[in-house]
Amino acid sequence: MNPLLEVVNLKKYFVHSRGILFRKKIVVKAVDGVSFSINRGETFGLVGESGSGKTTVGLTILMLYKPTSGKVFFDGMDITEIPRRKMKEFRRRVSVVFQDPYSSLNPRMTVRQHLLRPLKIHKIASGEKADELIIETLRKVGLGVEHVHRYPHQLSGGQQQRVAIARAIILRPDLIILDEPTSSLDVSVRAQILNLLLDLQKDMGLTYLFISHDLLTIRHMSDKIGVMYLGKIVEIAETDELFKNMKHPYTATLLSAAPIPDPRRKSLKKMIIRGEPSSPINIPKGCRFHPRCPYAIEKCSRKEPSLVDIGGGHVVACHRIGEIDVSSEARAVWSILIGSRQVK
Amino acid sequence: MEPLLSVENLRTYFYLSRGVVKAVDGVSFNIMRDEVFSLVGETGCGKSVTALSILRLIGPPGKIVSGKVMFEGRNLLELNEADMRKIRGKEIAMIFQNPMTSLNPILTVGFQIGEPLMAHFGEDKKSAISKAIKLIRRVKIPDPDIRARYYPHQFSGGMRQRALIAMMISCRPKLLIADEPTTALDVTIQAQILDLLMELKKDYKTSMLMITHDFGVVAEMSDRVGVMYLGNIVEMGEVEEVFENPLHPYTKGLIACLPLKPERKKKLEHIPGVLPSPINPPRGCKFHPRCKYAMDICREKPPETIDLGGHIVACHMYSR
Amino acid sequence: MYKSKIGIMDNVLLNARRIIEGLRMMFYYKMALIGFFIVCAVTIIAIAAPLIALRRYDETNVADRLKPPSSEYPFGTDDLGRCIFSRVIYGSRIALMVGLIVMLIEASIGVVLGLIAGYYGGIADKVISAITDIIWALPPLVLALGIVIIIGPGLLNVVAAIAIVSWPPFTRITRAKVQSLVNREFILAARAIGENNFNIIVRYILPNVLSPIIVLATLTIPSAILSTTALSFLGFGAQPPTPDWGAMLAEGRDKMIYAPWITTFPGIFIVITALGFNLLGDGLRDMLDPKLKI
Repeated sequence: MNPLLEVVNLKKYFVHSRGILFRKKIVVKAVDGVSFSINRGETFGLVGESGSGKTTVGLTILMLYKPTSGKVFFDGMDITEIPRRKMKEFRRRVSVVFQDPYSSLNPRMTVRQHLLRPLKIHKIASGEKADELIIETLRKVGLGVEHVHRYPHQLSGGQQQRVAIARAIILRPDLIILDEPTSSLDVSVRAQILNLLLDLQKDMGLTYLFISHDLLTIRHMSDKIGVMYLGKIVEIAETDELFKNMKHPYTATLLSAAPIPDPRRKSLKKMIIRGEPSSPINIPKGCRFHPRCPYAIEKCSRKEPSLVDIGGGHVVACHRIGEIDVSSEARAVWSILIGSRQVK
Repeated sequence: MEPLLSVENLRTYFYLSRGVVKAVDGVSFNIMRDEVFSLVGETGCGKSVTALSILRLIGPPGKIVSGKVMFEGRNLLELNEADMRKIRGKEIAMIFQNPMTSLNPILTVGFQIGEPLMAHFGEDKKSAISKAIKLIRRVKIPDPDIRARYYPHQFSGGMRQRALIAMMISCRPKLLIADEPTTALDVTIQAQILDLLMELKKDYKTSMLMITHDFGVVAEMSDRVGVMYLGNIVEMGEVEEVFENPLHPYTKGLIACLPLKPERKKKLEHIPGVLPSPINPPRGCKFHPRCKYAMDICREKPPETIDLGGHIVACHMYSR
Repeated sequence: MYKSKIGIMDNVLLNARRIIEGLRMMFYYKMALIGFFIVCAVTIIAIAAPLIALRRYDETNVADRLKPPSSEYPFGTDDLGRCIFSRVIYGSRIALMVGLIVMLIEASIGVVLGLIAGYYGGIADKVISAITDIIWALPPLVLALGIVIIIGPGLLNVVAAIAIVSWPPFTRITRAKVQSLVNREFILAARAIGENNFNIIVRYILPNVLSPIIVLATLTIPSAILSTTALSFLGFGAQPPTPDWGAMLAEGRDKMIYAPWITTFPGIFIVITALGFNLLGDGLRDMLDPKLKI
């Protein structure tokens, strides 16, 4: 079966000019060669820290940013160079939910207007039919009719995010890009929204690209996960495989460093790496992670590793794969804490 | 043993034109020497206001209405402003979520770290700055001699938080209040900062009050925890006890809804409904409209706190 | 069942609620309220001028030249025996018209350019910003004077000249506000559902930049009135016998010593009208500022 979305060597550079007399061009390599694919009905998680380029990947796939190079195939068509007419179809079939629900809604539009616009643009329905569809969609995301005429500031954060999700599903899309959809919500509301997303996926056969920095959430939601560092994917694997058998030192650090809400965590060792991520303006030569990597050897600062398939769709970009075992500490944390967890 | 800090029945209200927000509405807890106590809760539960009230940093329209904050035998709420200034920074220090708001953009980092030493111990500028450089090294900022001459905007987010920590420990405070110290930081940097805080806590024998919404940080850092909901502590106890055996329905809900299940993509338990308006909170137990165990009495009467052997809960289910 | 009536109800109800809310807010700001009353009063005077005025504004009575205020002529007469009171009353029509027309021309030029510059950026932004900066760098009254000298005197020409030289603030303020919105997530979300640029500008950006523009527009009216007055005073604006307040000042200035009423009353009206609009504009600024919402 063909994947629904296939991203091939996607790059997005932002060019800024600096200086008054001598203008110097500064190139920010936000996304620097990213490839992955998502099958129909699957959730692909993209995890990384701020500045890793995960959000830029999402916005570039949506063609809200023009890619610097690379291809994006959606259902077989190359959307980096499609005619306008086809673009409209793409817009109908792919939608997005952003992190901050308040800023993703127009403060001067009511809930109804937010949901009516997509129907009008794509000439799906108008008049009574449109209103029926709006009510039905709101019901699907768990909002009552009484919210129809409210403005965003009259809703709570969770309700705003439900409206944003309603807008994303009203055209019955195939793919939804979820960019940190629960990061700005409180714990109790987060669970509601995650449940809603899972329900919608099952009922409507949706495919998700789930972008997040929160390992607990992304583990819970995704079938497959790609780990990003400084504009590149360093490791891709099925979720359970990744959490049991991570191979890249960065993945291991990330998984080991995550705070886990279980007091038994205190007694387990943590892998703490030095330094902070380099800036995407000044990417280190060789492996991007080598200045912080506890396992780095001379080769790592010279040559950039490429992604290697180590079987079962598990891909890693590391020179020292097979030589080192990075997983013990992080694996201990995740398998012990989560594998054995019983909650009353 | 005598607690280092003892907050008794603290109430801080905000008088807005729309009504009165009872941000902190009768909060009591103790912090022992050498202990890390966490206050955890969702937006608007009053955890930050509690911390600010301890240092009396509440400005209009907010007001500390009643209660006691006993610190080493003195009630901080009755001190005059001059004595209070001697407490702030020297005895009790506070670090914030956004270090930029506590660092002055036009002074060098080194000077700012040395400043409390000059203010509280009357050190001269030169020795204060040389001590500041030692502190910068202590919080593991590379090249401390050079970095001391940097301005805050030349530091990254993690580095600024380190600088702020250096500034706050410069006077060796007995209590360090950390208000969401790592919320704005990335996972790997967060781990570094939490690690640093624990290390300093051990070295300096400082007690800590940790304010956070993140149960992960709570589990990792604290000895005891208080769970807040709409201005009240609904449950308090040893971290292990609260996580393994939560008593209050709200705590139960919060812990059950964490995406921390062996099987993935399954529905999580959740707390129904939304947070009520703080101006007009529900009568009786404030949590009852969202509580699946709510009884008639919950709608009528606010629950008393019940001490079940160090594990304290405010819920009618446990009263006799 | 829900009917599509909700669409109409939507607007009626919400607009009604917004107006009530606005009026309620007004009372919070007493100065704005005073400004609002002054503006209303001047508007009523302008509309009802034929009913209030005692005579036609160009009616001359040679026998009653330079009469001081009396029950017959409440504000006195000028050297042609015209009733100052009636001329001041009719003058409010001209002042308001001038203020509104200048404001409308300025706002339409300025806002359109600001939207284009802010939304598209790049070359469009550079060209528009350069033009804006150049015009803003020139002294507006002198520039307007130059234009009037070229195209000839007359009230309409003065209005055009003032509008042409003073739209830059609208462009600046619109552009800055648009730039702060353009990368907001709701604009990205709008593009993601397939909105075209025109609809994004009109439906998403314009409503969100409107409040500072309304404030600026309100504050533009008095400055337009004052500029016209100045040009009329210099003799380039309204030509006799038009009862323009500025022209009246000019006519009375050499008789100030022995017939001060000729200049005093138009002067008072100029000050009160300008003050009214300024108070209203300042009040609106406070009211529409979301940070100050109560």
